[in-house]
Amino acid sequence: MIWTVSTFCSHLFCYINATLTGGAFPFLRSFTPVVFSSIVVLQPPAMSPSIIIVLAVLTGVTGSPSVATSPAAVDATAHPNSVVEETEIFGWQVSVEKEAEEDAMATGELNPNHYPAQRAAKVVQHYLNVQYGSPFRLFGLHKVHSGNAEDVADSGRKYQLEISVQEIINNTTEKCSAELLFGRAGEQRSSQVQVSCEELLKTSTDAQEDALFRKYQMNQSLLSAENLPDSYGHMEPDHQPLWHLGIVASSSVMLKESTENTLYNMAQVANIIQLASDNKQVKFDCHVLLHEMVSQEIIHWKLLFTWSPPDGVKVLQMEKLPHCHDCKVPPNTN
Amino acid sequence: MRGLIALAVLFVAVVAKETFEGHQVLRITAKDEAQLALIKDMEEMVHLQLDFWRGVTDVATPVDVRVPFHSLQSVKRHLESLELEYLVMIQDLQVMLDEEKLEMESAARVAEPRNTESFDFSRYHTISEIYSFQDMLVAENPNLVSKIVIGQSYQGRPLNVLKVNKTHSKHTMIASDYGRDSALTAILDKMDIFVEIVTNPDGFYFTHNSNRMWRKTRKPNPGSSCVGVDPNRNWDAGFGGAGASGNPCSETYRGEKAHSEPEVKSIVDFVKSHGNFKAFVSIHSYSQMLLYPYGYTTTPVKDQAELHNLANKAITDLASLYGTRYRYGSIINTIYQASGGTIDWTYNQGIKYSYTFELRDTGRYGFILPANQIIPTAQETWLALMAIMDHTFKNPY
Repeated sequence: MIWTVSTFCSHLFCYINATLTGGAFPFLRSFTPVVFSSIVVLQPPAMSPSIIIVLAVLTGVTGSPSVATSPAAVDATAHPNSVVEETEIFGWQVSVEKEAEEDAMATGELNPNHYPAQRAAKVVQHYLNVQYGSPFRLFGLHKVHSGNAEDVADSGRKYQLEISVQEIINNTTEKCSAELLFGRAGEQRSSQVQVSCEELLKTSTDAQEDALFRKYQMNQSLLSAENLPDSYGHMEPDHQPLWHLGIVASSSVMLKESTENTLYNMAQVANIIQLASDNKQVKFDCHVLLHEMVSQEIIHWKLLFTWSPPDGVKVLQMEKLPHCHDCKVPPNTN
Repeated sequence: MRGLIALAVLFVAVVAKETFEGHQVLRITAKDEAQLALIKDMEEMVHLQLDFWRGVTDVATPVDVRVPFHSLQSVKRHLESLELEYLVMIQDLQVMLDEEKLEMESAARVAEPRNTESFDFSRYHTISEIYSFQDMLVAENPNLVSKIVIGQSYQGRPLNVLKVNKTHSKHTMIASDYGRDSALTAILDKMDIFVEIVTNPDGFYFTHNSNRMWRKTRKPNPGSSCVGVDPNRNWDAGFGGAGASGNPCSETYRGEKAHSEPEVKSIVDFVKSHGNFKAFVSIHSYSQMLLYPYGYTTTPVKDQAELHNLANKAITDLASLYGTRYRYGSIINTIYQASGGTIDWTYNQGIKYSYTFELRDTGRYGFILPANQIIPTAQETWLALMAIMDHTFKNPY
């Protein structure tokens, strides 16, 4: 039987989440700070404090089994920067999935051009699109001016950022201050974000939104579109608002899924279909492709959402579709 | 549909050496079952030599029939006598076929440019169009450009490198920019420029015909249903370390060993046998970044300061055209840890000026950048490339 040990190293401590495969043993879930060793002593570079990591005894059997057994082989969703090492510890054959140099998380003043601040800022973008996005209002990250990160005991890691965001459709730029908290690794909680901007909703989009809403409500036949944009970056002008709605709806997923080790963009709306709904909002079902930059994976999600000018976009259901290696997205999968 | 039928007819005509001068195609509509039966009877009238393009089915569906010139008068009299309504769909079939033939020929001419002057740079092209372009470029500039086949992809596609030859004589008359651009002229006076336009032709083809988002090569992985290796994790630089995946199903699968992919091995062999490259630029999308080594380690390269300053110059020049903002720095700091990457290997081979571009945009369109951004992207990127080439030229080592 193989012990699979995943380590999530943050700063000085490595939290070990151990699972056992192929046996009837209870699962071990321990957040006791332990230190962990490999064959060589790691000498991290000057930036981060020196860490000498030695494996102690895995202690404590707490919590209920909640993680499915996985085969010894690393699956496709394993951390992209991990490397599996076979090693022997106390007579047990151990498969260790080590995380990379990122173990030394950037802390304190951040270089605004480096990826830690950039990834955090992208999360702020997703948050703004969830809160304020519409067919006529979309935010993109323009620039990170400064950033700061620190560990928060028992909560995770907190980032403070000064950024500029761009409202893409009207091409205006706005300065914002943001604070976000990434939950501890292994926990399901998504990042918590607070943003304040100087004058975020500069341009009123009410008239355009009302007109579009009325048009969608009064459709004789329900709308549908696929491949927005198409392979060549093109789409019919009539489909642009649907693309924007897809981006806003996807932002809920991207916000929920984001960690310090990811960077999400929506790659394409594979298909989007209008469903019948009451007069208060219009309803859509869509299949989107998200691009996760760090793993370079294309991840498929299905979303059910509503939109109305007063309430904005509300995602009712989201479902991650299985990793499809060679597949082409079939149109209107319903 | 009509075109398709005409095409089929044309094919038959060409093969059978028939012409359709004066032939007409009639559409007959039956009012009821009785009339439908009358039309059906006409199928038996062999002497008329009728050719039913759409035969009798039901009352709701009209019948289309080609009538040879010699039968036209009798057929029309027959139809009128039975009070069968009909329309003349095609007045003269041969005329229509001739027109369509001309149309197809001229469309074919537009689709395949005869020379690089008529090549549409503002459109995306297929792999065969790009191969044709390469051959045309060489044919039109025989003293300046040559094609070297450095290897074959897994599926047997040629891996072509275009060599822009350094010239010995300043008096040589050469096409387009060379001669007009003094900085480029000075460089080409002393150095060759090599361009490999498509480094992963199998993957490129796959994105056109199967999966637009395909990233890797198309080599199967033994023992796995998953295909392909990430060609930017397959180089022998930090190979096997963190920053790539050991899982064949992953988009960043490194391969079972360094240089396992022919697409990568071909470049490795080419660079090593040449032995005198001074700069190496790898072009990707997206993110708007200019990156220098390393990706596999946080240890800075020996030439960090110089590469950093040059990157700054390059992206400043790039931004001067359309204001496009690029970030720059080492791979591992700027984007993520990545092992087995191209420019880490080229740098370790002694090619100091090793850079990776991540082109437009920053995620709005991402991989599917609209075609109308092709030329602006190329124009601004060229300025950055010139900065790098110019510095390389002026700082021999």
